Amino acid sequence: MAHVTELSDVTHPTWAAFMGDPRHTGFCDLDLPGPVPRAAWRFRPGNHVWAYEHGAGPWSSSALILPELRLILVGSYDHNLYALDSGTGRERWRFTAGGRIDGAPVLVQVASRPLVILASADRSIHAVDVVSGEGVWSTEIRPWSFTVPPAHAGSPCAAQIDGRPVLFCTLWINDHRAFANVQRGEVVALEARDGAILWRRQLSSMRLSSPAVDRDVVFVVGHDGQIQALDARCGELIWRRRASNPSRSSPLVCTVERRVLVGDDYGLLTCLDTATGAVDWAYKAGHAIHATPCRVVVGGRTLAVFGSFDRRVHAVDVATGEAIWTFRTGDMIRSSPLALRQRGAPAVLVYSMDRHLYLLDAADGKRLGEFATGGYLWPIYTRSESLGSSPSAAVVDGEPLVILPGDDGVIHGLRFGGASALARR
Amino acid sequence: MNTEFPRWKIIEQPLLPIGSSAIDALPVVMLFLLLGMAVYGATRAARPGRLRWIVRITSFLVFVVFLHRCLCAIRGWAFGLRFIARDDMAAFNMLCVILPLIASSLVAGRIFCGWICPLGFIQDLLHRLGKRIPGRRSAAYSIVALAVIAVLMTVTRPAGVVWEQSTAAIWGVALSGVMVAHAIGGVPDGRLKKLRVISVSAWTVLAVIGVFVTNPWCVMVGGELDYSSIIGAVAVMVAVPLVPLAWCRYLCPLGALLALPGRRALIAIRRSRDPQASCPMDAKELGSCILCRECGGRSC
Repeated sequence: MAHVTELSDVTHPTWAAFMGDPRHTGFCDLDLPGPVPRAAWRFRPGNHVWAYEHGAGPWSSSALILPELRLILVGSYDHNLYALDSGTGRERWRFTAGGRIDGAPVLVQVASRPLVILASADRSIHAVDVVSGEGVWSTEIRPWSFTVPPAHAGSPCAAQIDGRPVLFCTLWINDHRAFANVQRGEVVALEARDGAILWRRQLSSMRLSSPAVDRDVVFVVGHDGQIQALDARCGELIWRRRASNPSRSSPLVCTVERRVLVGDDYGLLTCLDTATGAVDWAYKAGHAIHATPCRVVVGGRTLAVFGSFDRRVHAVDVATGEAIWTFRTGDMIRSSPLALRQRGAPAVLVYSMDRHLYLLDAADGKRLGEFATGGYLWPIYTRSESLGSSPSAAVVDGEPLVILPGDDGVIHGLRFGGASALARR
Repeated sequence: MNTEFPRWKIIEQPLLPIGSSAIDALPVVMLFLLLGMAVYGATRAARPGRLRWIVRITSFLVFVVFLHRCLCAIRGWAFGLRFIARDDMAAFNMLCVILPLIASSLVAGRIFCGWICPLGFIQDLLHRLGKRIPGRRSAAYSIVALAVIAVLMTVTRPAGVVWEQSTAAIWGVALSGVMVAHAIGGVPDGRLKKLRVISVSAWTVLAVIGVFVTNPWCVMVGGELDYSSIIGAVAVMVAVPLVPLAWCRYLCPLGALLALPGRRALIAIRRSRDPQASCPMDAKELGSCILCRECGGRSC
């Protein structure tokens, strides 16, 4: 079982958090045997509720993969956290929260007990036993009243602070009473053991993206365009910078390069120094960047790969901001890419709104394989609000398994193989 | 640094940020200044034509070339109303353009259309250039234009959800259809102008239910190179050699919205009786008058 520790730069035995680790590198240390994906199994949660809320997506930001327990964990708009068997895709248990689960859950180990932590739109953080699916604790950030609508919660992340696992969650809470109106975008730090709040800090009146943590510093991006670095122990502000435009992207922290990268609605990917927040460079894509970049090393050079609403996948040199390659898809890209290897060579997986998951060569952006999902679950999609899910991967039963929460409302479990033909749904 | 797209927005940082946010208030401040100049020009200026050129060129430079913030008036009001008392910063960000425009229309009707709108300015320029195109008044020109738009839609339409990225293209096709009707003749211009009511009604419904409606001005002001806005913009450019300010006359939902309070505006133009005077909108009622004073009229 993976422990929440200071993760090394390379190894991820599980996919235990949004973008694989607290720094959102999006890297999985596995090697695909071939470029051709095939559906090993699919999961549909039964009848979809025919209701659409602004900003709703069928699934949470990404799924967790726990190979030792052979378990897949994914949140959904129907308020459920589903636990699926990684070999068959069958449901083992489900935990029902009080609201949508938009953020990816995170795995923590507390006193030899694995817990999955999720933040729900019911304004609460829940801890669930991974084995039994029983709730262990819940911390309500703001109590319900008839003037309090569902909250917006990012993907929690976990890190070891002073030798104990601590959770960092971003929530946007609103109470639209005429008097004492509340509009809070805040970061909350909790003890993983019992959910006790260690500190909380309001950063904005607008929503916040999912936090990233690196070396006792929490990086948070607000929808108002503020990029902030906080001390993970007490929440004190270390530095604050302003993006060029409002931003809905979560930060990528490159520890080795000491850089943090953030995209914004104008299409700028800004690279800042993690210690001071000084801007190193900015790269302009053709349209908004909502996805979190992933970090991939190719030939000794570190690249940030991300998708944009200009329908392209961009690869940029983290050291210089130079564009290395782009790959055009059929529609906008709002989900975050996943970096891995394919037959020893660096590769990335990207899910586009043209309903295709693409496997690309990380060196030159050449398409190696693709997988087609079904049509969008609802006929309406609200750009800049609707959530897009991202792929995750791990080695399960000795073989790489990629989990794609599709826009079609289906969880796709994919295995990769030889190069004879492209797989189809 | 390399980029694949031309940076036609010269300034890519907020110049007058609100608090610590990245929301730029400068475009709104400029909008107020330009509206003030426009009202002065429409009511007091001895040579409104020259001042009108200055205001329109300034508007084009400010909103299209220099400032990177999109002035989302058409969609912003429907989205922004949802955020009042929920996310006031987001509400302000979306409503800060449409509210001054509606206020200005209560004072001076569609003065924004005639003096500030960059899309109207581009249409005016293209119409002047387009007068040299032979056969532009023929039905064949309109049919070819419609065919070009249809091919563009078919070739460039990406996979995706039904309503996403399609609205500007649909409106562009509608405009091309109006041009065909105009060229063939037999449909009175006044009846074609009633399409504005349908346009703004449909737009309102789509925006309220959450469709991210785009329109031809997204290409210029927002810098959005989505296929739908480009097709809409191409349709406008193809239409204006035939009919001046075709988009403004027949389909612009923002113009139609501003025409509603504009009918009771404090300021209007009494059209000149000079038979040589022409009106680019062929306005016969207040909802179509954009206060450009090209007719030689005076304010009243």
